[in-house]
Amino acid sequence: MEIVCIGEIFNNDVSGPTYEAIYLGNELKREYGGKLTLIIAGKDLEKYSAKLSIQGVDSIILLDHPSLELYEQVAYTKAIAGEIRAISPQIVIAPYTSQGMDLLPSIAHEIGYTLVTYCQSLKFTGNGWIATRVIYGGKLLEDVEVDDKNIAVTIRPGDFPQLKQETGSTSVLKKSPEIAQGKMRPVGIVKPALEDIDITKYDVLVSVGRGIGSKENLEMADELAKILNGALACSRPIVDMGWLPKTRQVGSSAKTVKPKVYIALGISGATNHINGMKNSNTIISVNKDPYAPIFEISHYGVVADINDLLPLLLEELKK
Amino acid sequence: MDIVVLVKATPVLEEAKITEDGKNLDTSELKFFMNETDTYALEEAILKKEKYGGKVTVVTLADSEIENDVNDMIYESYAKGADDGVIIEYSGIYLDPYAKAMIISDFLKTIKFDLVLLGAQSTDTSYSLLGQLIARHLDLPYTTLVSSVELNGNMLKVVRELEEGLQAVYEIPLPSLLTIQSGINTPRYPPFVKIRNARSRPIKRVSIEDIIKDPRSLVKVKRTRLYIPPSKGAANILKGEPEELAAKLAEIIRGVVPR
Ligand SMILES: Cc1cc2nc3c(=O)[nH]c(=O)nc-3n(C[C@H](O)[C@H](O)[C@H](O)COP(=O)(O)OP(=O)(O)OC[C@H]3O[C@@H](n4cnc5c(N)ncnc54)[C@H](O)[C@@H]3O)c2cc1C
Repeated sequence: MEIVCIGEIFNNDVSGPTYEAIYLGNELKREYGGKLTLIIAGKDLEKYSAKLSIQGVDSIILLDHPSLELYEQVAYTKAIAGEIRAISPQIVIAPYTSQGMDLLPSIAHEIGYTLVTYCQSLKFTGNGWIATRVIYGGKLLEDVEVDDKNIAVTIRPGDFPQLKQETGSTSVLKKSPEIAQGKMRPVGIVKPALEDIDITKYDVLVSVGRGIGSKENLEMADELAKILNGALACSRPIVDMGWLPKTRQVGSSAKTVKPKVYIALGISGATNHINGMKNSNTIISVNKDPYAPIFEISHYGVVADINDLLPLLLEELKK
Repeated sequence: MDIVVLVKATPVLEEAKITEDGKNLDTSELKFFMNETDTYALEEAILKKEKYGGKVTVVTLADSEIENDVNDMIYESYAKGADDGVIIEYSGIYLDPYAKAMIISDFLKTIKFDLVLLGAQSTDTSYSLLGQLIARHLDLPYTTLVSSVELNGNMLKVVRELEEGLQAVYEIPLPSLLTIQSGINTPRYPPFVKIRNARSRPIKRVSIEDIIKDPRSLVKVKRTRLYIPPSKGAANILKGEPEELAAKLAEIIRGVVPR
């Protein structure tokens, strides 16, 4: 089986999820035999060669060009699709990141492969593929079937280990691809500077989600954090509503935290949130929904309405 | 600037029930609302209309089984400021993102627009695929996860959200398609009277058979099974009266929080 993984450079490094795509590629290789090729587009990529030469990768294609410094879908699609066509793999694997989400639909369209996004696991049936996807924010799984021996998939970051055992013996091919001109133009990357505390530095985080319900409850959560010498953090909707600054957001599009204690109040447990906190030492969750996926990764779970529980909890802790 | 907003009705789910064939969600007791990121896409369209003029058309592809909730979703969009609403209806078939993209693309060919907006991800199936496929079918430039849009003449300056708080800036000309990330704006809540008044406005209904002869043939990704994830049984789950829970939780917290 010819396997292609598409890697990515993020913030001047090989992205973590790139290694997860390689991990899955390796698993398939072990099961079905074959060859694994890693393709990466960007600028000045040679410096990443050693980091990419990891166990199980048979060859690496670096599509290196000054115009590929910033991700731009049309140029990336044409360059990468060209290489994939030449290999004609049975499967193309990429991470479901901001880049993968944008790029893979375009590549799959270009090469005529069916793309299944946001996969958790994958099986080859001999005639086609069965993928398992996590849906409804983690409440359900679905198995979907593609009746084609060739497939493209994106995988959920956080579902596979990031093994980085370097071998140094992988063949690396550097190419300068032709650049296709799209209608869109990348201008640059920015990191908005925000002044605030650094939530990654705290031993205790009290983290609020949409279930916190009101700003009054938010104040109570802040009080809880203060009693515990911790800080107030949150899930995305709280930032979207403007209740807390982005600096307090935990999750894939914001901060990854690993405190000694993470107390989640009214957070459902979506992958994008969990990926930012699941390695905390002790996770305590309060949610009124006994089926909330956050309980699956918690050490302690309390099924309760925050409106009832939080005032009582503060009273108890002040005793 | 004429803007089409693609919206989807998604259910609020606590305990999931699955139909007997083991393939579908039992929706009989569920309430459907506009998908979260789509509410931000609609708000962005209305803000742009208020600034630059033009028309906002809301388009949804929906199962007739949830007709009432879908109608409500369109009426609420009217109350917020949408001008036209279109429901492309189907019944009793399973459609994947490929079939949906083809149907919606063919419909979009029949109307005039400068910009297509939709949410970056739906809370139900989380494919994040529909917009990208439509853009490729219609040969429109697209970008995803957009957290800011500015118009300069015929050119949009958009900001895309990346991981770890980073953002990428792009210039993209009209006509084009953008998938919108939550937090780009603050969606308005229309007063109840406005929603009630909107109920007298017409909704255009199109049957998918009017657009495509055999929609089933477009499906490439078939669902074979839908199920509740096997529990890893991780948490010690506490249930009971709030007073008792508060005392127990306080004890747990005292046990693990460093002093
Ligand atoms: C590209 C992308 C990136 C993303 N990045 C992030 C990220 O970095 N961080 C992040 O958090 N999210 C992120 N998200 C969003 C993510 O998918 C979820 O939508 C989000 O995490 C949900 O937040 P929540 O759990 O607070 O809200 P919900 O999912 O709405 O959950 C609210 C919970 O509160 C419970 N609840 C309600 N009322 C009460 C009450 N009175 N008492 C107790 N419990 C109650 C409910 O049962 C529910 O479980 C991202 C999404 C996308 C598409």
